[in-house]
Amino acid sequence: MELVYSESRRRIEVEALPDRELAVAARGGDSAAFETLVTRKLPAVVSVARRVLGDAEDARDVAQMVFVRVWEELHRYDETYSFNTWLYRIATNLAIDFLRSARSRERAHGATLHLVRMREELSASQTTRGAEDRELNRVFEEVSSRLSGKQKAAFLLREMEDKDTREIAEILNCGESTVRNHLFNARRILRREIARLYPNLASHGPRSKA
Amino acid sequence: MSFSCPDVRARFAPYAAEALASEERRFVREHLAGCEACREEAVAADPTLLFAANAPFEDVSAADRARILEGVRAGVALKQAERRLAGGPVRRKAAVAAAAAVVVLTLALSTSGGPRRASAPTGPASAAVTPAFTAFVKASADGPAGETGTATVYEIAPGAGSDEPRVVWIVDRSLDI
Repeated sequence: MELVYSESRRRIEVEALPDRELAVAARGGDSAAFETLVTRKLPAVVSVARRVLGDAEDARDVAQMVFVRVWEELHRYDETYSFNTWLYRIATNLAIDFLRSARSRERAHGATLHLVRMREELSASQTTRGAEDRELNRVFEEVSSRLSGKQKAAFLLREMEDKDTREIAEILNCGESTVRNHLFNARRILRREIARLYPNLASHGPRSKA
Repeated sequence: MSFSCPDVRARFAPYAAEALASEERRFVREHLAGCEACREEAVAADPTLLFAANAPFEDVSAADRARILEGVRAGVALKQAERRLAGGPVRRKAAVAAAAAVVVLTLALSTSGGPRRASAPTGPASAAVTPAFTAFVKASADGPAGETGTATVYEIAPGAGSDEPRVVWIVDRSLDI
């Protein structure tokens, strides 16, 4: 009984801790701290993975892999740096790896079931703000299919997560000039794909797919 | 600082070219989030500005959270098991290396020159070594050596009449192979 009480009290205590302190406690073997970190960061990790991968179920699988990797690599985390940046690095890297393998599988099977599913979902557009956000995500998924994993990650971190180029460079483990190159090329490809897939978008908005 | 619609529209091109200061960039984004007319103008100017808005986090249902958390727990448990298994062979290799070192040292001592070898009555060094290996036995549990609570004791008994040294090797049970 005392043990149960102690565990629940510990969970309440750790929920008030900032990310870095949770990470340090988790590194020391505090499972309540680790699970609090997982619960707290899950929506952000699923969101990044979802935007890179374009598939909710894949994003959930990758999120699970991300947190197992976080547990494995906690001893490498330097708490003088942002935990979020470190977490985003792991999340984007695993999502990009997953995306590459998914694209390989698609090429191998000559199938684009994923795109077909997205087109079906697009046709069922709704009018609420949440639905508009989801629709915007779907448009992005479709027009970004020609981007490399790094270009896609750089663009969505910049535009959808509002990260600056320095932080994106830390997350993607590359130089800021490389990030700027990724962003430049991502915009160039996106413009081309939007013009190809949504020629009337500019004048009529995102629902006017030709 | 606050931007009017013309101020914002004048910044579409530098926004897309990553040429705005972070403060200006923030104002453009905030303005676009609340101004439908400027959003349409932005997309007309550069369709990639369609995505210039903070995307909300995904809704993760309670059931999905629970499922993912269970998966993470299982994954962590698997990694812990892998680490334990990975630790085993390393310790065993260390034990083997230690054992090899003891044997080599023993052989080196027994086959090197010195008073003992000088007094050895017969044959080359290798002949003197072989009996030592054949006599390498786990000490009897009921003898003076043998199994203790945490260790196993081995003994190299050179045999009667040999002038080879007797070697006793005590191995921690957790390292024993």
